Amino acid sequence: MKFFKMSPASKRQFARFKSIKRGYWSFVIFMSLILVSVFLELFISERALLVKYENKYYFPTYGHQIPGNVFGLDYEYETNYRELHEKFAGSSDNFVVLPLVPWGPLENDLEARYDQNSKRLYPPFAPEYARKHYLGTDSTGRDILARLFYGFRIAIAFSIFLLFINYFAGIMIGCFMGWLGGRTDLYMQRFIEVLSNIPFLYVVMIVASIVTPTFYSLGFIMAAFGWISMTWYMRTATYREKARDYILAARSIGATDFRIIFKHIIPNSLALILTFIPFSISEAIVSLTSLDFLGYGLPPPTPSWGGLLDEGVRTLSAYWILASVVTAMVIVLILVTFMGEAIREAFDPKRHTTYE
Amino acid sequence: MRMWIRFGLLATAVSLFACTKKKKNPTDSSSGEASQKQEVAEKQFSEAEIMGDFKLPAGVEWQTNDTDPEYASPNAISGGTFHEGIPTFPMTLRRVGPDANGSFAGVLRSIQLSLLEIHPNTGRPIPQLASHWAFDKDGVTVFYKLNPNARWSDGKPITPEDYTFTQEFHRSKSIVDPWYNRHYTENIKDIKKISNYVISVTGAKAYPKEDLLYFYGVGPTPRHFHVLDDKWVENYNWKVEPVSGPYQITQVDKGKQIVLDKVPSWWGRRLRYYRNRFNVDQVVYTVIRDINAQWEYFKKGEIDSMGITLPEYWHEKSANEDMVKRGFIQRLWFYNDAPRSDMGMFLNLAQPIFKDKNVRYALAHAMNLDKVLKEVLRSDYERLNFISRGYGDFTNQEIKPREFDPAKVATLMQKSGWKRGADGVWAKSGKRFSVTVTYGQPHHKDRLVVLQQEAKKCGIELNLEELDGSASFKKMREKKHDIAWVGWGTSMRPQYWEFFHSDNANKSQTNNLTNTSDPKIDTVVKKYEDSFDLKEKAALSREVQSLIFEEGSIITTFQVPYFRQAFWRYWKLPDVPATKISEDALDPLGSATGGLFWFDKKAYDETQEAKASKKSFEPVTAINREFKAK
Amino acid sequence: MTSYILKRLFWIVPTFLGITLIVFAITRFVPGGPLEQVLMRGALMGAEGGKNIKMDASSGGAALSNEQLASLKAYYGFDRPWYQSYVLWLGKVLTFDLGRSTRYNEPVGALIWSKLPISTYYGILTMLITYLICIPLGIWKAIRHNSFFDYISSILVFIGYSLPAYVVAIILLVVFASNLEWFPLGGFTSSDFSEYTFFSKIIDLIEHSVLPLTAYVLGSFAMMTFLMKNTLMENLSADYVRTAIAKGVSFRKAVFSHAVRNSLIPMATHFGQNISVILTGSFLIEKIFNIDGLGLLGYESLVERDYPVVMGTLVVSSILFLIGNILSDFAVALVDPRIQFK
Repeated sequence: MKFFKMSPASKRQFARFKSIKRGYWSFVIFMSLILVSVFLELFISERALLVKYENKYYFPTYGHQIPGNVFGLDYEYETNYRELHEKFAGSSDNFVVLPLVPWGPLENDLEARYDQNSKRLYPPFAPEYARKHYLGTDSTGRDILARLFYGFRIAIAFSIFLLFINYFAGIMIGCFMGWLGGRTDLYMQRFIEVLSNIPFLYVVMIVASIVTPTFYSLGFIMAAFGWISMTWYMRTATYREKARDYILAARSIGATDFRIIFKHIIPNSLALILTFIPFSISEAIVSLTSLDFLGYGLPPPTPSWGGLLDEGVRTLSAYWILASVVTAMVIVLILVTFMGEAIREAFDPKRHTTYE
Repeated sequence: MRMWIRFGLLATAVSLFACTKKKKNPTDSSSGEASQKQEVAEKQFSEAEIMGDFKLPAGVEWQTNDTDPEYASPNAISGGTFHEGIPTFPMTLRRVGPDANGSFAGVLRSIQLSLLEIHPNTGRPIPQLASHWAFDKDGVTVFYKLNPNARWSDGKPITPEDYTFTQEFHRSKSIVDPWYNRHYTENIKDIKKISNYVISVTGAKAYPKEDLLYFYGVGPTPRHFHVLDDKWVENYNWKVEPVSGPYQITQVDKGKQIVLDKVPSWWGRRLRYYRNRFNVDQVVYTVIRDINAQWEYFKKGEIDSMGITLPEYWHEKSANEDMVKRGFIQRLWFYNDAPRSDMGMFLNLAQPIFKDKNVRYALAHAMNLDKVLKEVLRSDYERLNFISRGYGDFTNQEIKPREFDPAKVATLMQKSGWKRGADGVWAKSGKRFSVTVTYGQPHHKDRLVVLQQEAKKCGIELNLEELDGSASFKKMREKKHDIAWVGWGTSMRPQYWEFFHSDNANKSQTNNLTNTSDPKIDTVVKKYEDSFDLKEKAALSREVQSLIFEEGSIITTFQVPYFRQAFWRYWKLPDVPATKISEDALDPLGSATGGLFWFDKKAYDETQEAKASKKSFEPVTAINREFKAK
Repeated sequence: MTSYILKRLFWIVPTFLGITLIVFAITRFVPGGPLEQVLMRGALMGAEGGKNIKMDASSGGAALSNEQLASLKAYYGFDRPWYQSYVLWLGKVLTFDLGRSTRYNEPVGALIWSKLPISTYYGILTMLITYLICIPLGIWKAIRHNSFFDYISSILVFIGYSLPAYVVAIILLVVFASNLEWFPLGGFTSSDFSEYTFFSKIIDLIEHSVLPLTAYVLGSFAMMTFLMKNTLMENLSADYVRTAIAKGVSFRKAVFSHAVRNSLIPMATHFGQNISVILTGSFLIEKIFNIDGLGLLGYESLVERDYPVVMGTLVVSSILFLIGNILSDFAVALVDPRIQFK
């Protein structure tokens, strides 16, 4: 982890990054979003944060479910804390603290409701403040805000997972190709050319038709095609570094290939790699969303942006679905793009010149 | 088309040219052909000319049916062009062979008639191409007396040779259709010309007499039209076959449109059960891929009728539509009483978890189908009580489904020694009650996620596995599923052997998805298959149903006991707008249930005028319960 | 030069074989192929509700005999081991016969050919519009780097960049077609197009093209603009431009005759790579706007397991891709005299 020790150069780069306001604040907001999504259950969940019942305190958020009969309710399944909240409303002893949005991403709120003419309404329900569906519900009464955030959490986890595999494979293979060069490089190039021509969607559809894709299987399929671009960059970088004098020097004092690659070439390319990260993340989010949109992504009832997008397009009359998910996408992707541009500008040694 | 004016700068230019566009008008093409009809004098055939030297065996009598009520309206008048939208262009105009089973196959089969038809309201056989029938004493052969006036649309008479050719045709390897090959080899043993206009059809297996007509029913195939060789599939892909029915395809605009015209002086127009029907002169099918787009076309009157059974369309789209409110478009909710599709969850009894009957029952009690019905499907569909509904006496009405009841789930599970784990799911010796539902219809997701959440409350983890249609079906037929979520097609009589007999259990590629293999059920199913007596057979059918219900291997879900439709007000329907088994009141072609409506020119002119002058009519929404099942 | 071309062309062959071989093999091992779809029909019902009873019923139920299965297999070409079938298929491809679609029962070549005009229409227009906007915009932004105009246009371009094209397509469809009803909901032309006069035909075509074109252009637009801007700025700070300016060449001349020319190199690289995209289109945009182009054909053939069409579109797109790569190199050579082929 040598890289994260702040060398003077890194310090300068970081200062430069901080000075690009747009990118820096995007970074701060984006990181907060990730932090929120790690502890999402504390903000959006069907489980209460805190229950005080008969002088005992319960923290239901994490851990096993607490059946209703623990709180003197007449059922064995998981407590409905919203109902409990109402029940305890009058009493001074017992209380329930609910999260900001007291709905889980999978819960169907199908409670009957009526319009002004007392005509029965059916899901999807428009945003309603009273029931705390701030962005409304989808066609089976699930809270959209909850699904958006839980969908975001999955998408981010997915992109990071994908990022690691892709970068690991890409860096390794790219170095290998660049270092060895010659025939190995040539054959690998053809192999990559073949691979990049296989319709990716086709492979995903095939897998989706044999087994329902899971988080990991989908990640590995996408990685099977995703390592290519990093490989190209690393290959070029290795070629460039290989020709430098210091590598020759290292060789002449008897450093092994392995040592040269890991001690010199990769660390020297890290700054370059760093600038790619935000774009890889937004790419991964977009790919996952597209797959979900087409119905080849993670299986129902997994909350996903693509699923919401699909539903929004099919039920245009429920405008709040499409509006929410598109807005969410725009915000997140723009944050990532701003961040990425700023990182690129800060870490890219080329400074631009203007003549005016 | 519709956004002409709004298209900013170009509007002026457009208005100059818009008038040159051809207007679509339902009456355009109709009147001309009607007047050109030339009547072909019908020859009266003597009995001797029909029968030749054939005599029925002693004790065998000709039967016919000229006493059942007619169901068309005597007020019907002919004329008009009827426009309908279809979602995809057919892959072929062949009725058999590869890809011949698409959504347009219904139309292609409707315009070819059979020997007999079934009266849609009484369920009894009625004449069609044959005027009489007689059951031979061997129990497998039926004699048919053909209507000698029957003609193909190209004017050639329909002869007994066309029926014998039917067998040759469907047995031929050239058509690349193993199902028909098999049906006409293993089930239909022989089609013979007996004399001038008499043929016989021999089946493989004895059935009750009425069922022989159905199971071994055949139609003629135009022998003069087909050349059976290796290229048949390719050559006949887009060839228009002469038809025996009232309409013939006259124009094919690939990818876009198919037009059918009424056959001039169709031979059957005066027959009982067929008169006053098939009133429109022309039927136009236009490809409109998307259902939303179809609705747009329909609103403008470019198509004439549209099925709006989906809750969203009945309650929202059509109810809020201006044209409906102003009475231009009328709506019909019609309860029919046809055999119902067996839709449900089929539990795989070969899975260890389902070996225990209590567990199966518990699962049934944990399925909150009522909630799905009420909250998601707007109480529009109905609970399907059990399999084989709508088969009259063959249906066991006493069976009522197991209702959602968490307490019963708990009792049943405890009885078998299961306990709720820390995650709230039932568990026994380290095994959790976690089962997977395999399904292939993405739009059923909404129903399943609600069931899933409700099952969780009952301590059952229901996993959803959505595969594409054919992949999910493959998995089920290989018996690799826990629970199969499917809907089966219907037939004349309930079929049990293929679904519940041990012959088909624990084997791949059979329809016994529950892997039912119970000696008791086997015996009754066998008896049912072998019975010749309809009464006895019906009783056996009811017995099979209660045995299967007892087994608890099927949780039936929903049924739609009606259809809902919208159509423009100038289309008129009989007093009883459709038949007991109709699925579309404005089906122009179907030989049993179709062609009952007609075009009212006066109402049409009135409507066009009102459209221009912003007038309104009384809105009409009719609900018909004539045939509603009790 | 000639030997370089020959070498490049030679490498197309193994790559092409590799691509087709892999995809062909996959089609053989995937469940839900044409054969299984045929087997499924009839046994499962398609829609909710019962079927009408017809006297002429062929019964389903029991499984087909092996012999019957074999005849179906033969019809769909599944009766040989996959490598044999592949060789047969390849032999036909060499004679320009792509086989028959199992879905439409028409020659694949004709099918692809019939969709080509639509895709080409959109592809070429998109490319033209993109280059016509991006190059001037990129130049302007580079010269006026950090100005107010640069800042505002960057934000707009960023938004376009961050949203996938199909999401833009959806937004356009909802806003301008569904709500405002300014444009039709989709399709390439109106259904009664053939009855129009020449002039209204053109207008109809324009009406139908505005939204999809916007979606197409927005997708590639942002990337191209930034590519242009960034490379131009790099070049502006390069020594040769500094030298030129120091030597008294006017700024305008330095930019337009030196820097811009060099900045077009990466744009040219993209030109070749875009060829396959241009001709095959984006199936998502085509799907959303219901445009009957190559992209939609390819997608539907995948969904419906119409393998001959899958392979046919693959042949077309991979050849275009491989040739596009070579063209890219030529385009680079044209604008950059420093590059020589070895």
